[in-house]
Amino acid sequence: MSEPSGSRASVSTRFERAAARLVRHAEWSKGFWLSYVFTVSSSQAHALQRRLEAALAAQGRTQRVLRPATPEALEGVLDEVLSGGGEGCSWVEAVRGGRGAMSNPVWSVAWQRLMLRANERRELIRDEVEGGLVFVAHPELKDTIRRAAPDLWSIRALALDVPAQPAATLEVIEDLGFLIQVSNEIERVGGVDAELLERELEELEHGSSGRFADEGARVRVRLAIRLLGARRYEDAAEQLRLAIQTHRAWVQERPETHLAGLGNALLALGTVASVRGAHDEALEASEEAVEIWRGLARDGTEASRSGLARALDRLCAQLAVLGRREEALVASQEAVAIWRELVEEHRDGSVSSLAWSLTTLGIRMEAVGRLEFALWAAVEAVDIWRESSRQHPGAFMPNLAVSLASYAMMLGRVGQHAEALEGITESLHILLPLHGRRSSPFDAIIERVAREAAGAARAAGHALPEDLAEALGLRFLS
Amino acid sequence: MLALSRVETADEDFLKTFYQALADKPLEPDDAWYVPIYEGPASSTADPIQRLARGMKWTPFESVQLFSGFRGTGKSTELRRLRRLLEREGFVVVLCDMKHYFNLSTPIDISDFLISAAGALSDALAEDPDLSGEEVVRRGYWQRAVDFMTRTEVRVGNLQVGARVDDASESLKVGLRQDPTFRQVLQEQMKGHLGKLTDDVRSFMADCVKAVERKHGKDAKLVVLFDSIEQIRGSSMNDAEVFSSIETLFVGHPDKLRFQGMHVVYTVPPWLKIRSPGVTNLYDGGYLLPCVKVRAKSGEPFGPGLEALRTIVGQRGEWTRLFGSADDFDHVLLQTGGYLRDLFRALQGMLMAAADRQVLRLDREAIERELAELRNDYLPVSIADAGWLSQVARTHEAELPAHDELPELSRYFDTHLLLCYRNGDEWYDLHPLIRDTVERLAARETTPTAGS
Repeated sequence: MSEPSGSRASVSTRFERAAARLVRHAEWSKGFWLSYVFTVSSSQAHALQRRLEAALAAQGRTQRVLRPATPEALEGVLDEVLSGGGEGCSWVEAVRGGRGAMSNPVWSVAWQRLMLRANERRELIRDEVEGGLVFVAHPELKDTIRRAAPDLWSIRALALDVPAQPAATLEVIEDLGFLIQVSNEIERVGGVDAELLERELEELEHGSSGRFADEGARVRVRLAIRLLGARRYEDAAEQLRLAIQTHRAWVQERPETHLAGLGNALLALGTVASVRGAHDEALEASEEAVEIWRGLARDGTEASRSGLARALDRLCAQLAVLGRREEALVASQEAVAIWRELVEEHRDGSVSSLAWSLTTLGIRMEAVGRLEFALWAAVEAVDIWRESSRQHPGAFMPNLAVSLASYAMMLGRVGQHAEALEGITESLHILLPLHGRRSSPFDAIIERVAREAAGAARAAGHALPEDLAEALGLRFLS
Repeated sequence: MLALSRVETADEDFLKTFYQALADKPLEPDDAWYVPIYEGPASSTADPIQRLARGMKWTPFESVQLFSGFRGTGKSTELRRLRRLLEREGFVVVLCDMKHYFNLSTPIDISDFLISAAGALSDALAEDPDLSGEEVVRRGYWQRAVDFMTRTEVRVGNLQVGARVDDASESLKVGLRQDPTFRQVLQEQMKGHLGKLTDDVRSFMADCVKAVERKHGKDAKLVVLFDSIEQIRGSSMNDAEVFSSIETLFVGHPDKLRFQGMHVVYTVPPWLKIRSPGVTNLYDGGYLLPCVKVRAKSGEPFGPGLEALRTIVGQRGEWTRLFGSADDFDHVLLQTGGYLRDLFRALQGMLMAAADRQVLRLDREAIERELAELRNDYLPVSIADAGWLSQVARTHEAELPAHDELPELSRYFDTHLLLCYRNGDEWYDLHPLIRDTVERLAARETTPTAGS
């Protein structure tokens, strides 16, 4: 019985196998047990944690999730583990550190110190923890963990290497769609001047910007978007949390103003938290945003319905990150239905949103194996961007290229290799001039699409156009 | 290949029960699962525990012996067996777990070692009134050490500030265990008083010996097993310094580690003998608990070792139901190198695989896959490591390539990349699971590339 070939299928199978091992081990084990999980992906870690949580709950056991936010907190996490005790399971997760792209020596040192301490106190851990203990770390720390705590390592029940899940190209496209929308949001706010931003933050804290406390919440949301643009993600999240707090305080008194404000702030927090990789917070905020906007949308206004659709798009993205594909699809379908209604009502401002939402819907359909529906959604998105590009030459070409790549890859999945190659070629002709000029997400998608192009050409039995082959060969395939 | 049978509920229970029986936990020598592997020829020609016991019985007055055990070879269980064995012979045995008294990641010095050892013994005697029950012990060494420091005007932190002796004693104990700076200052301050401190500790130890004799009769000899010393190791920042301090302790101070009328066993790291080949000659004996020998030095499968492992696993579950043939099972025994924890982990993986596949008997492919999973726990192996490890595989000697590479050697032992066996003499081999990887890497390194 061999594993399916192909990196994506294989990775997915190995993830499932790791999850099954962890769950079965939790079901079969008695008393103390220790496990390590090595993964580069917070979302994989979250998905594993939830599987384990469900398995433990089925046995009437509980899970304590400890995700230290700082290296100092990671070093001290053992005290929390020991104070918890019980028959359940402590999940200690910090997928940080390592020497490579995720390089962060402070986290690496924190892991090392935690392990040294845990190794010394292993008998105490065995005595006090009556259930499971799972350490979740970056794979590059495996050797550090082994070396710092060899005694602890030697009594492990499981060490699961969850392979890096290379986001499927289609999912990269989905991510790119999300990032483009974030970029648009930043552009809408305008360029960010660091010095001014500091002054604004200071002013806000001293109250001169918001003579009325409730106005401060809206200012905070705006500043949060600027902070996002300045890549100050934690500061952005903090401003949004404060804005949410203010909106909540005023919502009873002035619901007409503050409910929509709260919905917007939650939506923004969902985005910022997702960018930071704080997926639980992102999901919670997105779910609440949907709930609020759903209530507001009962008035039937364009603003509230588009608010609900945006919140559903965000929720879909977050559910997808956490591997909850069916639920993501449901959210995506509802978002598309709302955007479509708005477009049919001649709300031209919703056309772009519908196209992005359709691109996402196609990817979500593909993810659950509904390829035929995926193609319908993808082709509709491509048609919308073509029409928009025709009306406003140059303005929507990158968007068209992204949706086109997505559509072409789906064609490849159903065996229409020649058409797939044609679509990818067109997409690359648009994207390649953008390489190195736009933000890094564009570069990532171009590289992925370039690799798909080579595969598509082989599958179609054709050669890539010479100019493209030369560009790809020089830039990506060498 | 045998026909695959479907797993039914009863089979699932079998798999689960077997799985649970393989969980890692220290055994008492009278546990139903305990198999006396070191008594027979499975691991060596001589039982190291019997040798230790004999060393005490045959050495008049007092003795000092060193004992090494690789992780997972049953060291804790075997020390308990030693205790039982000696108690049956009329010895009064005290087991002191030194990890409660040291900071295991900072350098150790003879002065703080002596204070900790005496303190640990006094705590153990105070905990169990049956051992002595006398005032000398009830008062404890910690107070005595504070008195000593007061007399000699040794000032460490707030030890002299505390008005109450109890507080100072507790500060000393906690400082030694938790505060590296405290230890460092104590070591510095004690340098001029080492002779007096040694005398003071010896005097206390002698008091303990006499107290035990008064309680149990003149023939009742006190044996103290100082356990967990081998666990002292540094971090990547100070490992060389920490290892060097252990070497200095045992090579430089054998006289100070010997106490009148007392038989003592210190557990020491396995690399000590390699770094200082003559160290056991400084003491009355030195024994190492090897892995169960699954292959002879020549590479041939070793029957008694395999048979012992079959018995160990058989006590915990009916392995014949899981494996289609004895050959398949032996393959697992050979691949895990006689290292019991890996054997148990591999078997646990295989039991899960049987449940996953809904079959009761595993084919060779499934077995290989589980072994590959276990192998993954040891990877990656660096090219530098591969070169040295491959040399050990050829020579079965674990000579240090350079004196300052001790931390690396220690790491090989700690992480079981190297396993130790005995045929009278000790010899070393690679963990079988990484043999191919190591040889491939080493060959790649030695093969000249084109143009070079």
